[in-house]
Parts: sequence; structure tokens; C-alpha cells
Amino acid sequence: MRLMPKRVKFRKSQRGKIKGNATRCNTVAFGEFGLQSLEPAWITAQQLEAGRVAASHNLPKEGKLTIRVFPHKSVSSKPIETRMGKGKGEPEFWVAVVKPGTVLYEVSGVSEEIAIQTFNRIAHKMPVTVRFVRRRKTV
Amino acid sequence: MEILDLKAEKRTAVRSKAVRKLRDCGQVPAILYGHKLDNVMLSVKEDEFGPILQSRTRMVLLAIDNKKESALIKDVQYDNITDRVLHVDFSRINLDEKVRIRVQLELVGESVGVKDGGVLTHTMKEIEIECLPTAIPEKIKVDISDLGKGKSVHVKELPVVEGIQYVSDADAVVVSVHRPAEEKVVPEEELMAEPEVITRKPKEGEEEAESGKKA
Repeated sequence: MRLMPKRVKFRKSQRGKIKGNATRCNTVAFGEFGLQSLEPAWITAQQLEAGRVAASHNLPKEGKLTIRVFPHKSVSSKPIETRMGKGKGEPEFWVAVVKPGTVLYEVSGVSEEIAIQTFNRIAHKMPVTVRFVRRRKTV
Repeated sequence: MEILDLKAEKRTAVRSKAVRKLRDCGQVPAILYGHKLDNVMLSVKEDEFGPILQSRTRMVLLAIDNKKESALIKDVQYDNITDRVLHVDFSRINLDEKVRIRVQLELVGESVGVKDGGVLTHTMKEIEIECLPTAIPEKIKVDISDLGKGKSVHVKELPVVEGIQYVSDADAVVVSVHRPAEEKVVPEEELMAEPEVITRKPKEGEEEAESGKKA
């Protein structure tokens, strides 16, 4: 499944800057275990998909994987050997803007051991340093 | 539930800069409120509060200036990157008065439906209950060993525990077992499709063609 929006207001976006830490999406909300980013980055749709495939190969049938981020931002680039100018390039790929603290993936329905193994596989596909987090208990 | 002692001091540090300094000294800012009395701003020692949090107890006996007050740990704020406690809310309680509190729901046993290849979805992980402060359970155990495929456990079917009343909606689903979802095969054309641009103005030729279609 290719991850990108179905409808957008504008095809191209400005690059922007990633400032500060995540103040939302920074806790495990749907599963029991999560994978938290410790760096700011753009994670491409391809990398997210690679992580999902790597996880699905390791997860048993009863395990459930949730991807907490979505590539909403398009990144454009100019074709090679093109002179500068003549406007912004065409959208090439889609990325999710990730701040330190963002939970990227969550897993439920499996033991902690399997969750660690799964996230270890996903971590190899990620362009950021990540850490394993557990769901925080009430209070 | 066990009531643990915790020493607290009244604090004058209010603004974020002052509170940050307090945290650097190994203190955790806290507040005590409830029972229509004035709010009291407190600070507790991080190394004393940590073990209390680990013990999963919800009730503490706060010792503030030689005065003891029983309180409930109402809320704890964390730094989600360092996992450090940033702030604690204590609520005054009367041991004879019922309190509303959220308690963890724990699933026990292996479901029949899961053995048959179903997928378990644990929708409600915590539940709001009403009980006396002394009767607060650490968690409520839900036996799911008889849960078949396509079946679910609702709040009204939860085990009856003496002295505890469930406040959450009685028809809300706690846990369910369903068939594993089949992966949809998306046609290649759809995969390569560009997102629809909602602010795009149609060109002259397209506009005419669209109006022709409508007619």
C-alpha cells in the first residue's frame, strides 16, 4: 500500500523547520508497546512501508501493528541536468514530519519479547534513533 | 490499598523558571486541592515519590508542616522523552467518602476465539469506578477464556466486585475477538495515482467539457 494523502489542498509545500519536541502523539495510545523517535526527521512513505513489512514478517497472527504517523508532506525535486529556475520541481515522494518523542509504531496482542524483536526489525528501517517504550499505567 | 507516607513542603516557586530550578534540585512540584479548601502548592522529593509511584498505590498520607492529610494521587505529568515526573496532582479525600477513579483492566486467560485464529482487540484498557478510598483495587481482572470469535465483553458483563460500582457506559465494549482483516489488494493504477488537489482551478477547456457533461 502506497502511503500518501488522497486529497490535498496544495501539491507542493515549503520545506519548513523541525523545532522542539513532540507535544502530541508522544505516548503509547493504542497498543501496549511502542517505538519512539528520539530525533527530528522526515520519514518517507517508503521507509514507513518498509518498517510495516519488516514487522508483519515477525508478528504472529494475533499481533496488531499501528502506524502512528502519516506522510502528509510532499517533497519536490528538479530533474538531473536541469538549469536552475523555471519554478519549483515536481513532487517526488511523501514524508512524515517527525519530532523527538513521536511514537512511530505501536504493537498490541503480543508478548514483550516479540514486541522487542519486532521493533528491532523496524528500527533497522528507520532513519532516526528510536527507543522501545511501554504503555504507561494509570497514574 | 496501602496508604504510604510522603513528606511534602509548601513551595513558593510558582513560575516556570523557578519550578525548573526546583526540579534541578531533585524536587517535584505538586498541588493539593479538593473539599472546597484552598489549593496548596507543594513540592515532594523525587527519590521519595518514585518508589510510591512504582508501588502502584493511589493513596498517600501527606505530611505538610507537622500536619497530616490523606490524599489521592489524581494526576501525574511526565516528560515523555526522559520519563521524568514533571508535576503531581493530589486530591484531598475523606476515607468515608466515595471517590471516582480510573482503574486498569487486565485480561486473564487465552480466548477460545484467538485459538481459532481470531484477533483480540482490547478496546477499554481502563475503567472509571466509584468506591471508598480504602477499597480501590490495583486492577480489575477480566476472564476471557470463554470468549469466542465474533463475541465481545461489555462493561455490564464485568465481574462484580464488592464495594465497587462501574461508572463507565454499561454497553461499552471492553474486549472483543474478530476475524483477521484481509489485506486489500489495491490496483496498480490507484497506487500510481497523484492526490486530488482540492484548490485546483479547472482550465478553460476542462470547464467547457464539464459544463457539457452536466447539460
